[in-house]
Amino acid sequence: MTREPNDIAAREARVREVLRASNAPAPDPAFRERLRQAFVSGEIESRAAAAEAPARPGVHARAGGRREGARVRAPARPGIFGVRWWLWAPVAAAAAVIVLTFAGRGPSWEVRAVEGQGSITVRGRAVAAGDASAWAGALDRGAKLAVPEGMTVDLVQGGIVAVRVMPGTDVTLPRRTNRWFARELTAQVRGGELLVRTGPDFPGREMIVETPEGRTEITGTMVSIVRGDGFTCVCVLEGVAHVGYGAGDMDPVPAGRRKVLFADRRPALLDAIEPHHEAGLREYGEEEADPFGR
Amino acid sequence: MDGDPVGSRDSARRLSREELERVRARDSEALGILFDRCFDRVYALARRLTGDESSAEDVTQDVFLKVHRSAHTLDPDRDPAPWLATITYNACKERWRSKARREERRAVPIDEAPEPALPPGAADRSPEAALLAKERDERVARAVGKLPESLRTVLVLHEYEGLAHTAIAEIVGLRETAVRKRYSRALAELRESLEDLLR
Repeated sequence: MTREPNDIAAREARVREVLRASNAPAPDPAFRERLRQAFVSGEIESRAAAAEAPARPGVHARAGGRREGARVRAPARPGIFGVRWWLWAPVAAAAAVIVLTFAGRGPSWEVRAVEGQGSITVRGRAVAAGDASAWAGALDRGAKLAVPEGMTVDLVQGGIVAVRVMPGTDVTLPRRTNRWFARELTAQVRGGELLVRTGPDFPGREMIVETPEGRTEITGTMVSIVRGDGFTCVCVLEGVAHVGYGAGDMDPVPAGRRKVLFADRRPALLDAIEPHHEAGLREYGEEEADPFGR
Repeated sequence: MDGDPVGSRDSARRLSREELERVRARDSEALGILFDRCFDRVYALARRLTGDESSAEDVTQDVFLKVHRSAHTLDPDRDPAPWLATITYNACKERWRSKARREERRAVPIDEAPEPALPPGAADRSPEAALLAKERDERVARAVGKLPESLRTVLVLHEYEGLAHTAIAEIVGLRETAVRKRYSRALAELRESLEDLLR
């Protein structure tokens, strides 16, 4: 049975309607932010150049060749092992890239403890929290992690940073950081509470924690970031964190103080840390006296 | 015959000539404006052409690397959208050709699996409506993803990027009539696979 042409045209028009009504796929905000930073700063080119260097040995190998009509240079003196020094350049570049790529990688996320039983959600998939080997590897690229009520997850990234994801928290963890470049860590807290403690290898880095209300810049401290309905509260137990609605609004929040940001952008509240938050942070500090294994 | 493409709605977001001149000079503020205006579009195109999050991120990164490298060649008198669409399409094509891509398709590890996410604006709707919209979007994305690459490319560039058939013909290196045929075949295939959504 064949359909009438008008019927086909109407159905094709309906296909177009359905296509146009579908929403654009949503990108990962952490990926977007990392790429933006690299693009705007120009770092995107230097990283790519480092990655591409060993793939072009032919360019260097041909450099000593003589083209018809080209001016001939004086013969270069033989260098190490009787070979002109610049012939070693590709080898040196490749070695540098290998060192930067592999030795430059920082430590992986490691699951220190999981309290409570059940499933957590990692990158949108429910996994048994107790079987850390099944999901810990997924954290290194930066991952969304949702911890349900009744469970707590303790994670550590080498000697750099330790975090405790409290019950009922929805967070995007920072990706595995590098040793020498792209050392910044960026996390997002969409709901719940994240405790952060920086380690002995943290100096020289910065950790940014974003919430819908604003951002917290951590350069060496112990803080909790609480995201509730319409507000973000940052409590500082040790050191100093910079907290604000955005660039130009960042205030230093010293130890023993908290700053509350509101979704309606009313003036932020700077006050003494609340006793129960201070107790939670102290408990974390005491339980994990040396989470970095030093 | 095939109606106004949706991409034309983006015309209000075009960068000014002055901004494009600053992009050519790699002024960081202008690069930031270009990124903010174009990222979602580049990512969405890459995601729709490649069909998965991980590949889309790789392609998007490649595109912005190429944009940064060739910023000085940008014509400030022209809308950069078709230029970006061309770069994105070429980056996807390179990816399709690579053996690595075929190997990745065999196994999707947990850290590369696409993350289910509610579509934009879903939070403003009732949970049932948001869920229905999400399911419909996934159905449409799957159906588009199952089209052969040649048909999918033409369909996505026209329907989502808003490019005219002549512009698509330039990008993919075909004649306009061939592009129109592919577009019709893509619609015909979707007519079958989305039968129940069309009622």
